[in-house]
Amino acid sequence: MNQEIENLWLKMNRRQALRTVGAGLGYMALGSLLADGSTTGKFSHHPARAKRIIYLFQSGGPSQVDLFDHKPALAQHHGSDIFKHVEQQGRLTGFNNNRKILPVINSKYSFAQHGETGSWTSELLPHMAGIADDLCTIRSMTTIPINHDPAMTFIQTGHNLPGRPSMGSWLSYGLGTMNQNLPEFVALVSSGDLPNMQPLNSRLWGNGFLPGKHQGVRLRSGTEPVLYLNDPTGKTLKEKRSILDAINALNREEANRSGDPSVDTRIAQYEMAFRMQTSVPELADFANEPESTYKLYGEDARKPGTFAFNCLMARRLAERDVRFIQLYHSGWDHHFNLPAHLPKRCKEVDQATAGLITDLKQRGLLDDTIVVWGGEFGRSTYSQNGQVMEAYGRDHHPGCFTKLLAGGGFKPGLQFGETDDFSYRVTKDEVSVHDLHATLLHQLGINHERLVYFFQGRRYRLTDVHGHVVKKLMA
Amino acid sequence: MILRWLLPLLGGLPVFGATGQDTVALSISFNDHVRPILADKCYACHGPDPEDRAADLRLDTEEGAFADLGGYRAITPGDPEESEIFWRIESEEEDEIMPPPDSHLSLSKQEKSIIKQWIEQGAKWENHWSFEPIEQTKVPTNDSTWPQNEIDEFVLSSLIQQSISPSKPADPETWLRRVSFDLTGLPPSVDRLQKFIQDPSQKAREAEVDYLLSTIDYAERMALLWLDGARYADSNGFQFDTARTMWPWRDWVIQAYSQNMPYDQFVREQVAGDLLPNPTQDQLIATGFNRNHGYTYEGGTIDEEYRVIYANDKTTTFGTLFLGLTLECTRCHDHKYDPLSMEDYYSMFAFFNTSAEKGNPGQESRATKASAPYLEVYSGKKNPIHANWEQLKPTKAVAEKQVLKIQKDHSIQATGEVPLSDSYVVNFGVSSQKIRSLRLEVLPINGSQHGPVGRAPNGNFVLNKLEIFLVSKSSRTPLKITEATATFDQFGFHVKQSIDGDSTTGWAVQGGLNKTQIARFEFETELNIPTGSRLEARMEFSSHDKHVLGRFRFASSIWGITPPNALTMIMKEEERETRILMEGLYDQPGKRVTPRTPAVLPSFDGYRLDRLGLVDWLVSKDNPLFARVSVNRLWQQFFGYGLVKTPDNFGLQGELPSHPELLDWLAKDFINHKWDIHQTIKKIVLSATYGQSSTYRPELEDPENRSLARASSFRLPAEMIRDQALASSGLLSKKVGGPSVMPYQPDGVWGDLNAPPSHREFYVQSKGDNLYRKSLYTYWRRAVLHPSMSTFDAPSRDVCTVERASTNTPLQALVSLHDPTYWEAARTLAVLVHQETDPIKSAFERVLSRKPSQKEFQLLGDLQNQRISHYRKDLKSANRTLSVGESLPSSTKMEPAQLAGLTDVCHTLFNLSETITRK
Repeated sequence: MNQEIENLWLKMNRRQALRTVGAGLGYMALGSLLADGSTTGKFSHHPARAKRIIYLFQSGGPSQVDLFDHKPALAQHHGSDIFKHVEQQGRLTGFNNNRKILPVINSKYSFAQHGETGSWTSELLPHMAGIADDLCTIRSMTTIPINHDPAMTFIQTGHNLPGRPSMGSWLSYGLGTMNQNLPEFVALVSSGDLPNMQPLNSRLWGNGFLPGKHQGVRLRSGTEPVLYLNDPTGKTLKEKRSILDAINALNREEANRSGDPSVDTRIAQYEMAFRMQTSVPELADFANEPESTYKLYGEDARKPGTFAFNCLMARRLAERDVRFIQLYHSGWDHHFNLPAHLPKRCKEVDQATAGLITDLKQRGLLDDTIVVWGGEFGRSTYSQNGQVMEAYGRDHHPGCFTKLLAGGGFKPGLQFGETDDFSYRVTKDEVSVHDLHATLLHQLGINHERLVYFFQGRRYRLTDVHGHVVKKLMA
Repeated sequence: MILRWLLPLLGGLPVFGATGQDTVALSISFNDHVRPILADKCYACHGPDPEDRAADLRLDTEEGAFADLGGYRAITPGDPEESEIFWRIESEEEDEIMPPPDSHLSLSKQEKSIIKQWIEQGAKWENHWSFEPIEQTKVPTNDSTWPQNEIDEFVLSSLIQQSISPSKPADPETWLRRVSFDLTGLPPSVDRLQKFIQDPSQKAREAEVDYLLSTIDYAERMALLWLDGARYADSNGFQFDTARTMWPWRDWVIQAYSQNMPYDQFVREQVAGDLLPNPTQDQLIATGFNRNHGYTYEGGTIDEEYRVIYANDKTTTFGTLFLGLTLECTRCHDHKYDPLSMEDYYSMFAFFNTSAEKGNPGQESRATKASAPYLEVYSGKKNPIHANWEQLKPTKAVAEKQVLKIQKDHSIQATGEVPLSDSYVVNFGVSSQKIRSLRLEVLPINGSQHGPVGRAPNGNFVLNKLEIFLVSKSSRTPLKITEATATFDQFGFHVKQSIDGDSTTGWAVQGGLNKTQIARFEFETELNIPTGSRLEARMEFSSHDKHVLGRFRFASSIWGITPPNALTMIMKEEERETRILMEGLYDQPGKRVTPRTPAVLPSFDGYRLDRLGLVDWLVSKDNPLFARVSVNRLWQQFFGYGLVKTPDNFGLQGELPSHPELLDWLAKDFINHKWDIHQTIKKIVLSATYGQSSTYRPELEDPENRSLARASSFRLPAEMIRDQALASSGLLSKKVGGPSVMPYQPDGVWGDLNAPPSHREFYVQSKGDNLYRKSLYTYWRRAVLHPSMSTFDAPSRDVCTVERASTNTPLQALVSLHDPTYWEAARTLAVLVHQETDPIKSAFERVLSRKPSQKEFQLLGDLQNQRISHYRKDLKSANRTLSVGESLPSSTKMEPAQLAGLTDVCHTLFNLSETITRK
């Protein structure tokens, strides 16, 4: 019913709003419901620093000690029980709770400082190291859940159990759409059989208790980027136009007869569906991309379904004013034989990530686009399988991990937060998942305490009753 | 929520100025007007939760609100000037004003005025309406012929108060289509429609309703609603979202509705069927209700953490579905708004905390598609029947080369040196029993859950031969085994090879070692074992050295074993103490609690301290919530909204009932008629209120139809949109129950879950009739719901859902335009009507249950002509339009271009707004 009420309410209140000067309540809401392309939504609380987010999610938990959180002390304690050095805090996973010792493992990879800011980055990410001065690095992220499913659900919805809206849905609800031809929230997943994959439940881009129109639309590689975009009878657009005209004419009869405002909305949605049949193929057609694009993103960007391809798609979506672009790359869950897998994952994402950020910068899009890179938790400095060998693996570690931010008003080149010598816990400037959410919302012009939805008797928020905006991260 | 104050308040409430500016209230009621403001804006800091209580002031109790605060009072009845809250809400000083600026809450002018007037009028305190006993309300009498029954008297008297007249009655066609969808989820057949139009009298309506209620479609439609609340799915929800078998529970629900099982019994069997004296198999299956939530199988999961999560889900589902209370809020702290404490929560939690289940049931549950405790379900040649295995008690067990020992659990243990080969003979006393099949459990030798089952060095065995004899004093008859299945078969060693008479082949379990495996054997016919007889089992192990069985046990059943054999989850009690979990954390236990219900509700004294006692308390006449919450959801089914607009929340933050006396009357009537669902439904759908036209009345500024001055109209739920296309074209299969099915779905949707090959599950499109089953039976995979369902707002059912959103999106248009279902149905419908005098009119009537207007007829005719001339020029395109879907087009004499043109017209009908709307 929401839609029809919204519309009738709109009709009613347009009158009232015009009649009553400064009817604050009605007026703010009006703007967003008109979907007039403005970035001002009903939950716009202060001037926005950014319009959109590209979230490059690395599912499984990339190892911060092998990539970003350089810990020279590990070398000298290699092989000794970590709890000789740090006090145990919190829980161990069911994998490791019966082990006698949990040996510290040094990273196999060399680290160097990059850029003017001297950001420590592992040899596995040369391209990302090359744009170190564009990145705002948070080394002091913490989360609560210790297993994938709850940790993914938590970092994407603000709660560890199913049922809550994802971040993109909150933005769709709070800010409305910026474009007329595409969904406002799009999810892209790298395809392929990567070892150590963790599943990607649709709740990660789901609408939870928000109305269904706020759910993320999965954009696929292949001939049908959006489900049901193609007509199985193969009709041409021109044919479809004439059939749609008949549908519209019949629906207008019904609108007149019933006075039901949802019929008007339905006519408009059929028109949008028609436009999508042009706008989506156009979006997915990379023919007009110059060779230089592939130099920047890497040759993988030619292959549908790769992370690089999706990064390029993300830029095209950003250009078309899609608000929230969620990418997922999987296979970071390196419990065993990390050295066999981690370099491959890095290779898949390194150049494309750097390429995307550089591309956005060159096109002037980085100013109002936030790029986020990272996973649901970190990995332990101790070995998962109790072995101190070449083929070490690392267990889940919620106590500290690294997230990268770029653009959207975040301070380029900033190194934020510190962890102890064993990358076991945060020693300075902890950023919780709720803090990250609050801060991202802030940059989009939203006060996270006021982005609320009334459900089951209380106001729900993405940040629950937590979260602090981390102002120090901002330029 | 903004709407609450922008819209005029209706239904016995005082009427405010239409613009919501200056308030002219007649009489302010604490419950109707004041408490909603206090609850929403003040209780977070001045409410039931002592943790966050500010200034030691609470406004949720009478004592607190009127307390002497040291020379002044928050509220002084009759005197706003002497009431601190009046000053505070009117203040403009940042450090004085309430609510404080950092709460981001504020009071509107109107809200302030309500509080002021309430104080002026004497500040009469009332307890929260839904916690008060349900009174027998008096049916008002109106001097009018409009009312058909009591419902209408309530509605009409409230309309008269507001000087609104009811709408005119709906057209008979509209009424019949409405009631058919509401009761059966399907449009009326053309025959019934035509018959009804000729005599749309009240008597004919009643006959029609009686007919609809008698159909199995009614039971399926009711089940559809119940499945959302009970969070039914065919998958486990977490991580890889593996398959489970809960459809026997779903079939139980359909069965219960089809018998019109009284609602109290319906709830009792689901919540506590296992605790009834001598529960039947069906009553055990019903308890699957409590197990419908997700289960995680993720490696590394901490067992207790998730066991607690499951108990929480059971508790909050009970709270939402039966009490309309948001118990969830009290898991970590006392409730901010409702008089519910953490102790209340964990006392409720205690009822469900004793479920004998695990937090992480383990990978083997992936294979069994159920996590213990579960029940074996047999769906055989007869109706679905639930197998009940009875242990066979061995009386004698002998081996040629080993010593067989009979254990207390009726298993047989082989001891002594392991021989190269052996044969066992076991006797069972089974007199006067009926037996159809036998079960052989192969158990770990060490007597625990895990360990080798065979005595070979690798832990395996090979059962070369199993023979069963019926032995009496005078005879020894071999019994013919015709069917065998096992939980695991080693490649090349299928269990059937143990009954094939060949001693060189046999059953083995390499690959499934180290845990119990089960083989089932079915006899050719049902055996009637005469008194004084016994069974004898002979087992031979000879083909592989030392591959003899170490420990095993037999059971028998009166049912066959024909697949599918399924395991379905049920409830079973296990002793466990319950403690308050501080901040809701499983590893922070606090004070011990015993099972009881929330203190604010009627006393739990004298009830059994288990789920059965809980249901007895729930359905008792004194419970103010259960009947109200239940009839409110029924009302919602027929009006889009409940009389209480928040079906999940009857607490202080919930909406007030639009027609409180009607709600109470319906609740009392439901109780008085022994929870007869048919009775209440008939009352509702035969009322004049329900029979009104649904045409919008914008002048009432009441889009949600809270006034009931018309019938409601709303978009059909996802399932009915598809079912209607199948039904009106004649494609719909009417098969009831059984495993869920997989209709057309775009390629790669399940691939979205991104599971590695080892954990991947496959969407295997169903065949034949199963492609056209009702959407109720569509496989419900939580993590990747069928896209045509989720696009039309079907919930994932990760949690209890009592209200679906109804959105209107471009993706919905893409589904009904391009899902092959609608093209196949359109073609089938075209074939069905093409020989009628007027095919377009016939198709129109089948889909929309009415005749087209002249204009509509002309628009469709023009479209058809335009399409036919296109297809005549492009025959290939016509053939493509006619070849969507698996069903073969029936042969017709119509030329393809004409049929394709008619198909396009039918497809257009499926895409009309009216088609997917129930008016």
